Amino acid sequence: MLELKSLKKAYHQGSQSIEIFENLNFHVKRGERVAIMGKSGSGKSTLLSLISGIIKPDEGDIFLNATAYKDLKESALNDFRATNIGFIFQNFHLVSYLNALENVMLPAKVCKVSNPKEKAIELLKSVGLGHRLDHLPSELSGGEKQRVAIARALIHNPKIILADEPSGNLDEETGNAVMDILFELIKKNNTTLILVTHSQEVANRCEKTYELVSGSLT
Amino acid sequence: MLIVELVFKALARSKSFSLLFIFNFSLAIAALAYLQFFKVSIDSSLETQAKSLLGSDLVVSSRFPISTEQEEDIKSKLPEIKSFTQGVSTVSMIASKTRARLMQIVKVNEGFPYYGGLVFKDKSIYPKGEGLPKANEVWVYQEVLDLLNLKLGDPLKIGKENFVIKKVIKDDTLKTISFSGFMPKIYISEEGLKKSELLQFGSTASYKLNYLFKENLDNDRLEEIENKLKESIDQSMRVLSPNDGRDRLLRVLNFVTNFLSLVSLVSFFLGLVGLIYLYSGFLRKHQKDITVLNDLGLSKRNLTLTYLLHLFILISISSIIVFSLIVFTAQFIAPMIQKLVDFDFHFLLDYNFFMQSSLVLLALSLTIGLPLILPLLQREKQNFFKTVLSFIPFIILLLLLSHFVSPAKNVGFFFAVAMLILIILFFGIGAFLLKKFDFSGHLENLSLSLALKNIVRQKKTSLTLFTAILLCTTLFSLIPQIGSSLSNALTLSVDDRPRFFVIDAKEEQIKDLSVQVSNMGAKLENIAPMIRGRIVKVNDVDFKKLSKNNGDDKAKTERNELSNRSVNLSYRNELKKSEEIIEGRAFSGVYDSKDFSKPIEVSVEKRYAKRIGVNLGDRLVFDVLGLKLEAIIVNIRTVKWTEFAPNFFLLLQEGVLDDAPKTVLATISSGDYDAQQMLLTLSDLFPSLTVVDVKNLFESFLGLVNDVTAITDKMSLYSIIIGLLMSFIIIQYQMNLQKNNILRLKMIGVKNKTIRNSFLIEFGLISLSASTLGIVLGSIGSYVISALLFNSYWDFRPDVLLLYFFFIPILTLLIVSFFTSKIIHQKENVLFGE
Ligand SMILES: Nc1ncnc2c1ncn2[C@@H]1O[C@H](COP(=O)(O)OP(=O)(O)O)[C@@H](O)[C@H]1O
Ligand SMILES: [Mg+2]
Repeated sequence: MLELKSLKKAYHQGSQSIEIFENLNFHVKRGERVAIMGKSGSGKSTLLSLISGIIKPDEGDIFLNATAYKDLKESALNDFRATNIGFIFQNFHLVSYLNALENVMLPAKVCKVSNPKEKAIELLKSVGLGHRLDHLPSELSGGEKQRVAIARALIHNPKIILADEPSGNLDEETGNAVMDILFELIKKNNTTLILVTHSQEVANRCEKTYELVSGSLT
Repeated sequence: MLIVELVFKALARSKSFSLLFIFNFSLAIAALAYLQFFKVSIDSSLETQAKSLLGSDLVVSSRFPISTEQEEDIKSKLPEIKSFTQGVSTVSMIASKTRARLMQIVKVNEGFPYYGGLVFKDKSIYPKGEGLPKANEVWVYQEVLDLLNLKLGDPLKIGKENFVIKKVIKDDTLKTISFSGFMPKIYISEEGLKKSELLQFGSTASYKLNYLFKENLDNDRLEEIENKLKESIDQSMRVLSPNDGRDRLLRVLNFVTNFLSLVSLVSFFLGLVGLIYLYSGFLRKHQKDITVLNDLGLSKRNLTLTYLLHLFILISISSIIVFSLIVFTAQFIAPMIQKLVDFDFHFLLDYNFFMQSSLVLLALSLTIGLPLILPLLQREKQNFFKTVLSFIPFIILLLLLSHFVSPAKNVGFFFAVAMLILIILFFGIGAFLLKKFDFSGHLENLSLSLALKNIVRQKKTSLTLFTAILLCTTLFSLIPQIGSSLSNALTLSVDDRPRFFVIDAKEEQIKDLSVQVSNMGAKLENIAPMIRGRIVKVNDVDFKKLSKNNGDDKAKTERNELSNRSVNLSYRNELKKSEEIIEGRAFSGVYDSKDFSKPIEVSVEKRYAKRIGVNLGDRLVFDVLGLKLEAIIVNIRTVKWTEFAPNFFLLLQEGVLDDAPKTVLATISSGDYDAQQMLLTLSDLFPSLTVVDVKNLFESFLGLVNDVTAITDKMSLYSIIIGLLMSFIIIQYQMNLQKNNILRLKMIGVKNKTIRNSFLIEFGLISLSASTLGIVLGSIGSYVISALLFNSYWDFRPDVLLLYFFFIPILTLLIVSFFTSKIIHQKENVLFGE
């Protein structure tokens, strides 16, 4: 379902260029949950950026659901990403002037999902925030924010979720609780997950764990 | 010196911030600094000007010779005297071979006037150049030559003696307030005056004692001395101090400096708001640095010092730029002021100003810097109340500053307090309304939805921006409308404006005069009888006693003055077009009681009524040539001051004074006739008549008004530039805060267009509503002010308003789209792995 074929990616800074991937091949099946580990600076975030289509590889192809990114125009690629990929970040990245409900509703509005409000309320209830719908992010704790972010990532039923260290900013207990919710919801919807994490414990929840070392996944 | 090193790094690393800061702050203080800088020069020039109108520090004048005992008595009540002269002037008919005219004959005293003096056609001056005229010499005004058809060096007979015209006077600082100021003057030596024997004929004369004090006293102090002296000397003597000579021109100038200082205060406030936003944006950007430095062991005290020093350096650089600009441009601006005020403007370099300003700027850095820097070091979010509390020293500083920069007492302070209260009210109401507006969920239109939520949930920024734009547009639409209403009022009445005033005409001359005038193509208008009288009683209370016991000090002295002075009475039954009864009723008709048993109906002008403290229904007793007349006030009326015809404060019913001895006042209309010819013909035919050409009077006044309008227009433009700059800073601050939100929205898949539109809608709505409200408020304000000051010659200026209405929102939108596109093209993957 997700396939990366002989990807090459380097960052150029002035005359210097930092080679991140030389020839990366990677494959994820539908509904599979994959953990990616690796040292800081090994290119995990770069990998997620490539999968999300925000940055382009220097060489190689990316396919999601048999659609090749390079065949899509910029705006089509954006639409494709909006409908097919959900994101969860270490720093939550909720839109600060929207309340919990509005944050969750947003992808549904973008993807023209029917009954966005009802769906959002339902989802927020299922992450245990049914009573905090109109709270602004600044009024929520870290764990609560991440739960809103999970609801937001799932509302439009994306094919795949990209999560970059979702529990990295939370204490262990909260992190575990948030992870419980994430994995429960993903299982229910049979959503594919690519999870970047530093925690072996979190990685263990996934079916597969890869280590990113010098540009290749092992 | 780690701190200094850090400060210079901070300065060097954020060049565009530093430039914007310096630009903004320089603009903010420029107007205020310029005004303050020139204030001292203008003030002292005004003082000197007022003194030279009087010629001395204090003058006591009387219609009768002043006795030596009286002189000694006065002297004992005054401060130590440096110089003293006795002036005499009289009025006499002066004739040449062809013509005769009433002229004022003035004795020249050695060394007098102490301030100002005469400038002659040949460019010599008196008293600081020329010596006294010889016994057989006179100095005359140009008008004397014109009216008598004479030239320099011609002989002239005055009284019993023949004189030679030695010099022609071009300028005379004493011109404006002499008691028969409209008459052309002839200056004569003491001996000459004696030989002419003019004073022996019992003709009307004025005797003056001119004093110059040893100590250099300012005009307010001299006014105090004047008021004290007035209370204790014979009521037949008048006391004058330089402040009495402050004429309309000086009053207008005073108004201008007050007005400019208020506008510059507004600009200063706006600039400071911009500065606060700019600096807190800067600190926010450096929050990480601050945390890291703190963790590395730099103490909080040193960190605070670092940023305070940084702020102070920026403020100092801006100030140095402005100060150097002031010093550099002063030499060009001084002549401009001189031209505007039309009298000697002495420019003084005021070093105190720089000292004081530096202190104020240091205080500003502290009171702005500390509340912004300290919370960052505490590393915790401060609640709103605490933030407000921490800015209190800053607010107090602003109030103090407002108090000291405006020339009129308390005006600046009250203005600032009013502004503060308005802003607090505004924020209170605004926050309440915005809260009401909030709703959960999204609208169909995502851009609109995002925009509304941004406005409603970033209350502080929305309201600040709104208030700023509102203030600017209010000012911006208020000032030009007042300006054009003012010139409108003056030009509308231009056609009705007379060309000549006819003073002291005899009743029997009027018919001939009228015929003569119309033969020459003009009209004799506004013919009004004038009778001298005094008010002796108000409501059965002796007027002098009343004035001693009643009212505050100022009203008291005013009344005192009035009780000393005779009043001019006139009578007529109909109102003029320019008059309006605001209280009471019109006269009941012609007075019909033969034995004066019924009180006479009297109409009083509103401001005069207030000055002497009388109201509708009050009973007055007038003394007219020894006859006591009882009168009742049946109405209070207003008179448009834009009407340039003579009018009277006190107007009686017809039928009372018709037979009393009187003089007549009239005007001659302006029109297509030879004014010079008119003047000469009339003075040939009616030698005793005083005809005054008032064209120059009005024209110079109109010119002054136009200059003032131009200055205020430019000033409002200046404040709108600062306002826009501040809006720019606030928008930039807001957009920087929104940077992550924009990337988040992009990440979720919200289209660039939708995001951009949401910001355009947000700021568009704010600036459109603020500028609309501002235009409405400004228009209402200008209407009210026009109604109050110019009796509703209000000039609505849709052209200007429409321009602002479109200009300001469009400019805002341009700024917003500039910042949005700057941010929106960043890749959203920076959100990963932060
Ligand atoms: N936009 C960029 N420009 C240049 N170098 C970058 C950029 N983004 C990441 N890098 C570099 O690429 C490497 C991999 O970064 P990243 O993917 O963020 O690693 P990880 O998420 O595993 O910590 C790092 O060395 C980083 O400095
Ligand atoms: Mg990373």
